[in-house]
Amino acid sequence: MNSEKNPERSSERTPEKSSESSSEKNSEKYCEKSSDNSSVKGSERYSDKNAEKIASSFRDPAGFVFHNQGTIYRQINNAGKDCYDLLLSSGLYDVLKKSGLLISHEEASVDALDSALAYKIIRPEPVPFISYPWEWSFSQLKDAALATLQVQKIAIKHGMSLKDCSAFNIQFIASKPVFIDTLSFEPYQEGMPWVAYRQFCQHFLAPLALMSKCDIRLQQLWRANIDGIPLDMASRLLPLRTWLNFSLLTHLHLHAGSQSYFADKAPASSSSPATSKVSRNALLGIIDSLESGIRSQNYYPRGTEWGDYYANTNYTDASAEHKKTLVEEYFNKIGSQHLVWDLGANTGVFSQIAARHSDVVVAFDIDPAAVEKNYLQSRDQQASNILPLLLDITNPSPPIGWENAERMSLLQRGPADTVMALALIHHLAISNNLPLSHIASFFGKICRYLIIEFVLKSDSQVQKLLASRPDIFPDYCEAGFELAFTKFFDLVGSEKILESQRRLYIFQNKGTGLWRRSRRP
Amino acid sequence: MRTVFSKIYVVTFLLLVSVVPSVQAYLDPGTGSFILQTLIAGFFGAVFVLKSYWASIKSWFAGSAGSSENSAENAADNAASKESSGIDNADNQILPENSEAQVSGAAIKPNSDAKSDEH
Repeated sequence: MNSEKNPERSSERTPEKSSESSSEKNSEKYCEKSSDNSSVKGSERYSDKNAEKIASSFRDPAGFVFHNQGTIYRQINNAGKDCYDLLLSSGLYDVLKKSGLLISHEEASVDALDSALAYKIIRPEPVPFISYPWEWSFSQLKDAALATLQVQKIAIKHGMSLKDCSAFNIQFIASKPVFIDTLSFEPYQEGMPWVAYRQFCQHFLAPLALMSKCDIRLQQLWRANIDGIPLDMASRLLPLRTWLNFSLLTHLHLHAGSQSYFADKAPASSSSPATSKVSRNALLGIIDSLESGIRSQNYYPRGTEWGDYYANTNYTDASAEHKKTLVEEYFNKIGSQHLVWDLGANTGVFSQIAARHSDVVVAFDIDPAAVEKNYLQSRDQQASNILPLLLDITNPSPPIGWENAERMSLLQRGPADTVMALALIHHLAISNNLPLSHIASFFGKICRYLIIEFVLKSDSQVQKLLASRPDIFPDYCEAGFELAFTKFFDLVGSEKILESQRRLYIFQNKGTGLWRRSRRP
Repeated sequence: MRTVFSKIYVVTFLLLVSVVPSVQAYLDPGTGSFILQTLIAGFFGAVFVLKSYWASIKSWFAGSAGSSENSAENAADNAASKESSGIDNADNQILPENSEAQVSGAAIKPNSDAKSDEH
């Protein structure tokens, strides 16, 4: 039984800041040719200012998520009335809210999107930036799994149970996993198997086991499997020694076998869910075992290309300090920002500077070890506003799911107020053969301010990239760089980094007028 | 009842030793997930109950039973932290599977309640 309903992108901005973001305005801003319909797809869905249902919110008859003027609401249908009321009256909502495990909400007196079905409208606490499991580090997925199980254990104690266990129901707020689907709870029926068991194993246990026991990069199987990793595939890929791990044996290998064995068979009467019982203690025991299984999965970030980046750079102490000073100065110059994307953030050294000048910093990096280190670091800080995520900027997260609209692409979740791209451009231009004009155009779509480091060909790191290939990049020079970027941006300032072959630039998007209009509708 | 469970575990054993084929079923594979839970319920129920009492005994000896009454809520505060719940690797315990606890779960208190019995 798949009861997965709709998780939600609960919201992208606070109401007062709602106009700063939301995919709805993507097309209006930085895309230089916003009228040519070639820009961000999200603009089609959110082209008007009226209330509109979120594209991924269609599975659950109990309710759905919609947005209105940039604020996210959840409509609770009459079909979800009893569950919602029980969530509140049982005390479960208060306990989960107090513990930070469940997103808080307030009931809103706004018009329902579908009044014929509506019971209530709630306005959930905003989620600063929506992220997906294929973008999470190992420990982010592990923490999300443990949070989900904790929610379920507390729910059972209050006479309720999760009816789905989608990883999309978890979002990270201040580096903590938070369950965001208020309508995922149903009354617990003693004796019934857990309807979300299969989904939990597919969404959490299977990918974590594959990442831990096979290869950390197998996380990307998520992109092709929106409902989690099929258990039969996970079972085949995992090494034989995992059959000796009792949790994995039971919840993955045996589970996969059971799915296969019973797939085309009507359940025998002796094993029919209708006649067999899973007692409360048995259910708690299964959850306990799942928790142990999750905890036994580990990943130690080492041995990857970028994990020890800062120990292997060509910066001197003076140049590293100067670069930090310049970044700080540039942020002082542009003032407080809401959303900053740090592309190629590595372990977040410069993200921390940005974090002092912004509400949220999303620190993207291509390396799982670097993202893991950054997350562990952010998690240890109280209420960190840095969200580390895994991303290959040359192949960013695509929109996937039904009508390519259930899960948003990276661009649909932008634009950012400010993008930092430090020590990145040579990897795009030289390693990936991207013309500077393409790179500039891309940045023109995703940010208002751009802080970017240009690395000269004479730099030792660039020399490494050119060592084994012909230099087919005649335009790759400061003049070529400035020419390409000033087509989309106004140059605000630049300065050579001391004792280096690098220069730091700050640009302002030429689409500033459009930005202002969309921020203050 | 014991005969039924014996058959179930024979089927389980066969599943264990077989190579898992691809799931390309017409029916929802959730059926197998449901049935698996009913097959493993007895064992995990028994383990859970024994663990609960073992935890109670340990906490009694440790003299910290007084702080366990609201353990579920307290644990919630630490949900995201890795080392908080103290139940790591608990499923590695070898326990007899002939416990009747699985069918009488309603009469057996769960973890936190069992701990509070110590007062």
